[in-house]
Amino acid sequence: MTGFKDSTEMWSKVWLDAQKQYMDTWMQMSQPGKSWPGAQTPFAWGGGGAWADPMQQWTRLMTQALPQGSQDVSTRLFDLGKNYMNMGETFWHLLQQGKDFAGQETDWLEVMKNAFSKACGGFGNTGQDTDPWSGFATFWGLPLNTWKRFACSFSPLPGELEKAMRPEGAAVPSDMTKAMRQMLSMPPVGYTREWQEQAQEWAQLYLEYGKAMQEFGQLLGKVSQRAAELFGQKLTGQLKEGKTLEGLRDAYNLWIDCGEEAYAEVLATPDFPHLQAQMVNALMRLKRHEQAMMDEVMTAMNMPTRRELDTTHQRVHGLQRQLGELQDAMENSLPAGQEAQDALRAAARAPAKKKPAAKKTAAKPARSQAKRRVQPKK
Amino acid sequence: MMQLPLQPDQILKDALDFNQKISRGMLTLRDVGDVEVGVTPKEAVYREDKLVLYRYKPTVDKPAKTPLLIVYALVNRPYMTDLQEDRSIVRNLLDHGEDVYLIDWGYPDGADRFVDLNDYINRYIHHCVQHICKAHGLRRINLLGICQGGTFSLCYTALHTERVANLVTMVTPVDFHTSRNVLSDWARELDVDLLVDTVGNVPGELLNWSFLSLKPFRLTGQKYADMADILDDPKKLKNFLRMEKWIFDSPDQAGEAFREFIKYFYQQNRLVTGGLEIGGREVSLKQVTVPVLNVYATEDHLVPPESSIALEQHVGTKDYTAIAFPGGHIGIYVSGRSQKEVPPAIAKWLQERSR
Repeated sequence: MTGFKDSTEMWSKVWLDAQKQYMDTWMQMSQPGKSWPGAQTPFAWGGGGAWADPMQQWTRLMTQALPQGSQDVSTRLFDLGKNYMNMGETFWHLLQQGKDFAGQETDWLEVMKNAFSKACGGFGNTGQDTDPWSGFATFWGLPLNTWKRFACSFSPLPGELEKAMRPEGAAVPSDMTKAMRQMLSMPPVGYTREWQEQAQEWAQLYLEYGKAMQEFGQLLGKVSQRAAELFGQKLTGQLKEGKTLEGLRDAYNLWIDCGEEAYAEVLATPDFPHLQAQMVNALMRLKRHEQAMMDEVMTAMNMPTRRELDTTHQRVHGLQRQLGELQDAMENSLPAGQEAQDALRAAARAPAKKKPAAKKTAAKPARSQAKRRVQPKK
Repeated sequence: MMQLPLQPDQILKDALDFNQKISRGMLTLRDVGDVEVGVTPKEAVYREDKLVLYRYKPTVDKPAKTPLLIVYALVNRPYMTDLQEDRSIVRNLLDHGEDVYLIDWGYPDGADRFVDLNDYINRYIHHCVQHICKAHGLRRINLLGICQGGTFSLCYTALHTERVANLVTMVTPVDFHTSRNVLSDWARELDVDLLVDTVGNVPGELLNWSFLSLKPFRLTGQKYADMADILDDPKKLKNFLRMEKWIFDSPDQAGEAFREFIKYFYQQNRLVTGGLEIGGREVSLKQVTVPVLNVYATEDHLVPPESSIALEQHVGTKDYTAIAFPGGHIGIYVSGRSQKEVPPAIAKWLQERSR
């Protein structure tokens, strides 16, 4: 560990050197005049590889060594690194295909379109068979993916349940979906019919939520489709003007601009707020029903329920508000009462100095009034 | 002849550079230490439920006689106004002679599920104002409402005009139905009754998701690509991490208050169309007759400038001033330009009205 503060620093150096050595080898192979290294890529994120796998191991190792506050950031950073590599891989494939006919514009544009189509997953396929997690969601890791994480975070059901209900990349009913539909068609009978009815309603709500999420996902799929179109158009425009990209970062920034432009277009349509609200509302209906079912179970076990807790909180809040209002009323009345008492005392003192006799006569009615006020109560 | 957009060796070099930046940056991240926020010295002077009222230590010998109470939004944490020494609206206001108080709403939990707008405005804000008035022997103080806190401050001023000397609103939504108001569009079809009845307090993560969904490519991607460029600079990295901490430090929203705010303001736009009642009393912007300074951001993607500008048409005061800040909703708190322009302008406006 000579020259290093600790083992993490030493392993970082080892990792950095290995990365460099690996890339140097690839760089030598890709120099002009050298033979192209076949269909392989140096990145291979989809299927692991000499760089992707160690990078993921390294990510896990380093994230654990970081302070708590930095772990989320590092995870996002590594995710970005992965996306960056995806972009590199896409361009790598693009160049592999484009090198054979770099002189023919139409062929070249077609190659570029296909390359980005493939990279964007669901690109060009926003019909019924689109996987809502494909393209826009997975390649660039955006809103629907974030929503999925959020929705799972407060559901008692496993996050992958939705995925289990459909085969990957298609809306053809999965075995699980078929089973749920069969369950829905069974008439509720017998001693447990009410529970069966509730379970059927849950299944119905789950299917509705899945459908709402899929519709929103399909809308987002249009974003990646449009973003890829814009990217192709803008990149081609630049190339026609004789401008090339300065590097992967340039390509990345161009993609971000195109993505935001495409997203803004879809955002401006009435479909976006409608489908988004439909998805949120559908999840809430499902969750509400789950709560009601859970409450019944808890009641049967003589355990406190959410409903009871809400009632208690509502009562405590009502009492707290009443108490606050009473306190405010008391505080507001105190200065006025104090002022009145002070005024009475001042009035009582003032005549005593000037007209002592008047004080005496003035005091008597006050006392007699006090007595009178008390008398009716008796 | 078409050119290739990139050369293979360039792709490899860039990919390697980027990964090396990240890999090296992990060591900086590890060593950067805790991220501190809220740097200006302050003292807790009043507490109620989760709320804490802070008074910042004045930095001038004779601060303004009329204190300034900052009312921040319920969404996100108020330390955005005092993020770090060189990015602090609070610090700047203190340096310009203001005596600054700030309400920290805390983190609502299940027991706060039924806290509503009446509680926030007529109880919490009112009690803070009363406390400050009593401490200073004053009948009225100045208010600075930020974002949703600005909307609350407008309601408070309408209901308790006798307690407010001057009102400053910053990036405050007033008309919730102007064009290009994406958040408002999203809220229209939301079944907020069902949402609140289901989740109780509304999770901060849901709000984060909404905000990230406004500009997803930039906020979930490009921002971190930019971060990779500063990973070797501990000072810049720490600034980034402070902002990151603030962005994801989203308290859950008290259910009833959220329900009322979405329904009355975002869905029904009652602040400008009328019919808004809080605590059984009508709230009309015509009742806001104290001097008003309205600061809005021209590039605001959360509160469109038109939404803030609308205040002039509806407010009852004859002393109305507006300042358009060329920047966004976040930049108005922390950008170098805003630090030079916004707090001095607020302090100057207040001082002109305290003579």
